Amino acid sequence: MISITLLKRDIKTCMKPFLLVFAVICMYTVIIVYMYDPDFAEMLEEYQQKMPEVMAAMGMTGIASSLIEWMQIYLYGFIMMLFPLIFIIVMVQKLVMGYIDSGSMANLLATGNSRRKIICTQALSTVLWMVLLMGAVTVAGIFSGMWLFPGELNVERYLILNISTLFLQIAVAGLSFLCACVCSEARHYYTVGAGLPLLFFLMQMISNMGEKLENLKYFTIYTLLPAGEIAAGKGCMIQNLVLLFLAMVLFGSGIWWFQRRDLGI
Amino acid sequence: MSDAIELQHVTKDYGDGKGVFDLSFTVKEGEVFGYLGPNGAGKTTTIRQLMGFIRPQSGSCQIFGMDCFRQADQIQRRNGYLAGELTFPEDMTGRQFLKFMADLKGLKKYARMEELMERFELDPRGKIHKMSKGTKQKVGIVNAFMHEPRTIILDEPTSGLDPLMRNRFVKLILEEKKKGTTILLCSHILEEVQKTCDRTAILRAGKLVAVENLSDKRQNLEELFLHFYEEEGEEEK
Repeated sequence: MISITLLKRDIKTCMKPFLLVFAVICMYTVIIVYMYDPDFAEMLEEYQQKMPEVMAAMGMTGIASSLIEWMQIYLYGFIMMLFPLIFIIVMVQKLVMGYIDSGSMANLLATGNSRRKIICTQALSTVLWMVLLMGAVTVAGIFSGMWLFPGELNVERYLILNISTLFLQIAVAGLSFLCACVCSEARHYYTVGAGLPLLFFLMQMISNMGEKLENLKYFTIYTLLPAGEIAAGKGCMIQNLVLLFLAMVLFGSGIWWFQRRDLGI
Repeated sequence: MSDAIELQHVTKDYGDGKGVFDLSFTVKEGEVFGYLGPNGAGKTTTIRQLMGFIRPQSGSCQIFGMDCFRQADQIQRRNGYLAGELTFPEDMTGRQFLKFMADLKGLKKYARMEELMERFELDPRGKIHKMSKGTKQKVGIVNAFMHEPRTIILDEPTSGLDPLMRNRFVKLILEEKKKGTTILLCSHILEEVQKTCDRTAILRAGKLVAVENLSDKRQNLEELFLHFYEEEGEEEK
């Protein structure tokens, strides 16, 4: 079902974007944790009062009474959504779309590995990379919490928050993956496979600003991560199950379609 | 001899007269089969169907009795392929790429690979995207032959090669022929077709116009081909 040779190759292909995105997220995480101090919190609250729309768009609303809430407000509205998304778009391009667009998929298929094996390997790579990214970020977050504010971080809630975020990002990756499996040209993939998640992301930002546009939240996948509620200790099992189900359907359809399609390679 | 490659009434219509229409021919086991035609005649479309990249709209396409689309993986295990437009991963060297391909093919030994590299004087150390057209072509040739395939599909195999290497390539084909390998060869270089092919099919506008046994013919090849190639132009007039 899986080609180990190709899996190894995927590691090499995605290492650079992974390190880059991880470094950026890591930096933001450490900075945000570092800035967790009551004076600064007051300043940010002032910002929230002065320009509520802008802060709300970034998901930065509410008052942080603990480090986990602080991190949720200032990391999980924007940074932890946008940068993994960038990673997903680049990764799926490298693992699936690039092979189809350039025609080098012909090399892979001419080796006697079935389409199913090739595409399942790429799907597994995609999921594993997301797990690795979120795992690495979680470790970085826990360490910076322990180092800068020992005992302040509610590790359990932080883990739940990151697991839910992982499920969300895997579902988003599934969407891009499906588009790559259907498209023949990279520009179509960028329009739909990258455009759609970005549109969802923008809708999320706009709906955060509240009032009439709040209803937009029913049309974006990002609503399925109730980060604020998780930080406050509320469960999110239903959302997680929905996300997992979505991910399975999206990846499954991509794999199914890829095996049947014509490839102009 | 049994049939190695068999196409029966294969149609793939891309519109505007592009594609192949009701195409039927067979290549016998151990035969070197030339496949010629003007640009856009449908040669690559045929090859894509043999490789299982695209599915015929109607008709059947088989290699050793296996369906080219549904059983592509089984066929490809014993098939060599050289694409007309070679694309390689940007970041790999020639050797890295060939080893990657060999591993994907499940090769245990690299002896044949090394031997072929030597034969074509291929220096596999540089990054592929910096290689010249001819050097890339050599990488493609080594890749197509290194796993001792039973059938080989070649699309313009010698483009970019110098006359010396072209000559070595012809020798390689003749050696494979002796071993009993079945080869489908698309080429515009008539000399190499005449030297290697047992029979040659000529395709025009997606239809087969002739299958010739070239070894019987003493007549000028070029005239023969121009005769078949140009017919379409005359019809348009």
